[in-house]
Amino acid sequence: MSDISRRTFLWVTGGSSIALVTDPPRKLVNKLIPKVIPPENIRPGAWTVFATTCRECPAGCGMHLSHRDGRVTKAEGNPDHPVNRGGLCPRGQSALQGLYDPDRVQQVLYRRRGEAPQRRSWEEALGAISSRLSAGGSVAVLSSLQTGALAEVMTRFAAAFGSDRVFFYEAFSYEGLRGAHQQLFNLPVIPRYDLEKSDFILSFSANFLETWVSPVSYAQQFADMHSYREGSGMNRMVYVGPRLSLTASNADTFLQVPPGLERVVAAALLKIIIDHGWQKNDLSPVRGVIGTMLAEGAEIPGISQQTLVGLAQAFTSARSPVALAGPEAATTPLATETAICAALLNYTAGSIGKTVDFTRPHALSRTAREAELADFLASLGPRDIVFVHDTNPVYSRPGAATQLGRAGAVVYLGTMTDETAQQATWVLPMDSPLESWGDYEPEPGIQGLVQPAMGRLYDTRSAGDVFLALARQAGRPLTMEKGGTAPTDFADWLKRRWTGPGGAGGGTTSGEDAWTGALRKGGSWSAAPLGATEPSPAFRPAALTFASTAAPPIRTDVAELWPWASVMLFDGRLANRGWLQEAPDPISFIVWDNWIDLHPKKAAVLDIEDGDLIQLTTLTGVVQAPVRVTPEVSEHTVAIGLGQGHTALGKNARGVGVNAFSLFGEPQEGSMFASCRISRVFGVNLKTLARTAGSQEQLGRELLRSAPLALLRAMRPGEGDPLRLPLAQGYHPDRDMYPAHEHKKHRWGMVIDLQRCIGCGACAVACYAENNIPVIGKDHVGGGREMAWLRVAPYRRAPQDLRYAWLPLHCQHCDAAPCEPVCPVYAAVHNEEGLNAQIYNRCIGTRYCSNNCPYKVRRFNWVNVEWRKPLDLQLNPEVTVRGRGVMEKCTFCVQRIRQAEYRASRERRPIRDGEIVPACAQTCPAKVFTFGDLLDPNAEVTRLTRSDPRRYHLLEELNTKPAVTFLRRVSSD
Amino acid sequence: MPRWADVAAVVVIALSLAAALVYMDIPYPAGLGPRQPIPFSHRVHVQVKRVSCFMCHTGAASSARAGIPPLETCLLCHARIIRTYPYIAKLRDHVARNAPVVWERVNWLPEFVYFDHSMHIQRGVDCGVCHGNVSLMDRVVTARTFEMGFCIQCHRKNNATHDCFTCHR
Repeated sequence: MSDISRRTFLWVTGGSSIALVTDPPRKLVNKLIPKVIPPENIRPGAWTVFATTCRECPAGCGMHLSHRDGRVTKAEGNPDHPVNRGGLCPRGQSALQGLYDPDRVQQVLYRRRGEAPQRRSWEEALGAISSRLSAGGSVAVLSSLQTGALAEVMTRFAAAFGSDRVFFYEAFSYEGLRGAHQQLFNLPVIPRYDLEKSDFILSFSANFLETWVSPVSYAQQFADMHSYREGSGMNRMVYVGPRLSLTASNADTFLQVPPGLERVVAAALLKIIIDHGWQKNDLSPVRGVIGTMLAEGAEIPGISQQTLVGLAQAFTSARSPVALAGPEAATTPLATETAICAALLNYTAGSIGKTVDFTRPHALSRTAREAELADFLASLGPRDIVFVHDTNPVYSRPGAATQLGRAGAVVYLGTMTDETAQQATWVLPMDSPLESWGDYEPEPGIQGLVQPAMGRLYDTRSAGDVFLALARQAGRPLTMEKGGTAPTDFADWLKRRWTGPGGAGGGTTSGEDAWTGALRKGGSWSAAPLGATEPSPAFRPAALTFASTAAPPIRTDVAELWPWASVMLFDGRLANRGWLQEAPDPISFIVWDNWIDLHPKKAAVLDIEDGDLIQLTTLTGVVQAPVRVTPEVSEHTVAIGLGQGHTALGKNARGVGVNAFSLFGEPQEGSMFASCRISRVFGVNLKTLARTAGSQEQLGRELLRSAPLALLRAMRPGEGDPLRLPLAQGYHPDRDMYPAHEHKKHRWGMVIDLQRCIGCGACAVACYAENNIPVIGKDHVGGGREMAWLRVAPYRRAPQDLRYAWLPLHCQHCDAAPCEPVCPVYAAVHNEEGLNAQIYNRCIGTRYCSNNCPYKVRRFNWVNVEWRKPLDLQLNPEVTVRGRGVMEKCTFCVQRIRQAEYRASRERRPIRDGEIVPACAQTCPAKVFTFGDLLDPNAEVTRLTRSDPRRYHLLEELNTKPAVTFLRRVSSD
Repeated sequence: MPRWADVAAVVVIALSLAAALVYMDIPYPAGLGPRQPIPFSHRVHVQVKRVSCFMCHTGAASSARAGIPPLETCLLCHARIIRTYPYIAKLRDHVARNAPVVWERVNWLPEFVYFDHSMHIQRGVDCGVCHGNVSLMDRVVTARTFEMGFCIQCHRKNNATHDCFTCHR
């Protein structure tokens, strides 16, 4: 024994016992399970794309869903769809998190009044509800906006039980617009606004880039209309409203007025137009009313008569101006009056029939009017069985909880256990729109088809199937036409509707071909938009009366409430989605919260400081939230974001922020929403706001640059900043420490047009979806550990300017990258195609790279993030999920680059310019990003980087030679 | 010497010989992998019947994954050939019940490695370079341990890419 040392003995025994106890390293699942008979065109490990329609809001954008191995992992805009033309907003991107939401309803639940819910089976539920129906219950359906087959089924279902009470309820009902158009043209509709053709947009609190009617479509049209084109002038947008919203910030002129005074501005413009004789259409019928309104209290604080005359002249002399009216959530007479004035401006400028098309009203025109809805909810009694489908009135309508409580039974059909579900008698789990059949027609002539892109996750059914089954079990099966056979299920109903005579698929080809075609395309629409061939609607102003303008409040602690809809959370239905909660608000860059905006003067009077907890009291409710003191709101205004403050819905949404819907709803004299009392809450404020941008000031660093239009006009092609290109020719021995990189075939680069960027943040959310970026929660984000690879940081345009512009910032993939030489383990390396590769399995987490990165775009994994099941099903199988202790950052979506390269190589052809589209560029409604090969002389990126007069590199003085070229904003004023 | 000792000696020698044969890979020159639910022999199909790899692994030339054939593919031949052979009967039973066969995985790569079959097939890399001589395997076995050195050596030899971002992303 003497010839074996103690050390060797321990080494042998220790080593062998470890070898014995550890399994050989293998995959988590060591089985291979092929299909028995595979479905056609679906291959394991390969992507299949399904075209469908986004149902996250009433806009009805076309969506492509990427399916792989039985699950959907990515939602993208459908490039052929006439509404969104390839773009998708943050909410559309988050549709996947709605599908995989861990807090989805998975079970049929039954709740006796005042008791805890109990599990039931579908058979029990349908049996109980249908027997109640056949016993003579009075049916009412309250649903989110539906068109097409489901709307038809709902109407037939109600009719089968002798009722016509089918109401489409949306919290944003555009009551003002519809009321105005009814009074002026006898058409209570939301027309189609053609912003693309317009050269002058005048918005009265209409946040058309965020939430107003069809935001992706309008964002895209606005970006096109407002972009810089060589050789032509700049089109303009003017925003009149109380709060600097994202849309207001994008305006060329922002006129800040207190809530309710937008209509006075509009009326003043009308008066100037009449006085100067600039009108194209006669306004004499309304001249008197306008005069009276302006005579009563015509002071518009902060806006000179000169400004107004200039604005009126610009509006009327524009080729095709358009005036838009908001806000979407207001139902008061003041909202209608604002919309009336905006409509009169459109009428007098001759825009009706040109940029305002009443022949193609938006589907939102079908939602229930405020009066109808109020009557209906007030009339509920013990005989009523109310079916609430996919809408949450208890959250978004103060008083609805009590009113629904009076109904005999509330049957909730939805995907989430929201506030309404929590007080329903029956909760029936519904399919997510990504799992079910359906259709949606956002405007006449555009019919979108909704198709399941994967199998069901839980034992859920579609709403249409439930209505059909209930009617069948109650002995009154629904048929499509009188005496016809009853469709077997909702999918059958839908298909028959599409392939039948007069169906959307009807046309020259046979029904089946048209159906397949529509499935492939995502719906049915004609290539050319329908011309407005019909005559413009007759101008029949009813006897108009305007409410008197409220004088500014006398009491110092009273202000006008301004609840605004956030681009991320919309009306609050999406508040449980981590991506949207963690996506910063474009203006304040606050995450996971809502807050109250207060003007500095008001704050000084009330002795309130930034960050204090304050309380707002109105006739309908009370909320407490931290305050942000900012001149972005007008002086006598308090602004608060909608969509937060859920008491149910799910783990992410519950307890975040406060519900601003609780503050308004009761009509109030002389207010746009309500007037409220402000009081400071004393004591320790535990509610701190988490932000991901330290400062919105540029501090003289010229990060976000702009160039005057006059200067750009004088430049010849190719003039502008000489750039140090991230190519061999950018190398200079005096400046560079390391030799130039050799790029084998490609050198990927990107161009970002800042003039087009509207700051919506869709790109950042798309990046989360594509690259498996974890959601880490408010505490970590507040501690500076945010994980977003791409941030769209707001910067003040000029030191004295209120407005912001946005700088989309991700890894610049520098040629002389500061991160690379400091990595001790070669985890940060320059690859053969110019990308700054971060190799996760090499990374040991020194974080030197991040410290040395001047753009601060690298993100470190401080925690091991667990994806709550089934959210892990959304993970992109092409991208590594990073663990704790690893640095990560933008890869220019290298997985997409590789796929394109491999595809091109298999097809034995070079990669086409524009073939590779990173996730951010794909989803951008405004088409800000251009991606391509800087070594390809014919690529669009090459042309822009070498010849666009607006080009510049961010922090070029550091000689990093970034691969991302920015194009300056254009200042026309 | 008692008779039982002779028997024991013979048994011991025979066992040692058998063990030596197995140890020296003589009965299974290509090794013996994990037991599969249906003892599909690559040797019989590839070496005896001369079936091409791409007949069943259809994705190899056109996508990242070579693909495990669906049972439908087996029935292309076995709908007619040796229908009554017990394991073929079992296979047909699986198809009749629409129940997939759960195979044991043999070759695997870590999650952070992204390999593309089509790119290698296209450059003329034979399946055997990585998978060994499958035509001799009755039960498929891991022929090479897929460690980074193995990949890099081959890439170096063939002057292929050394870009980390090719496999790690």
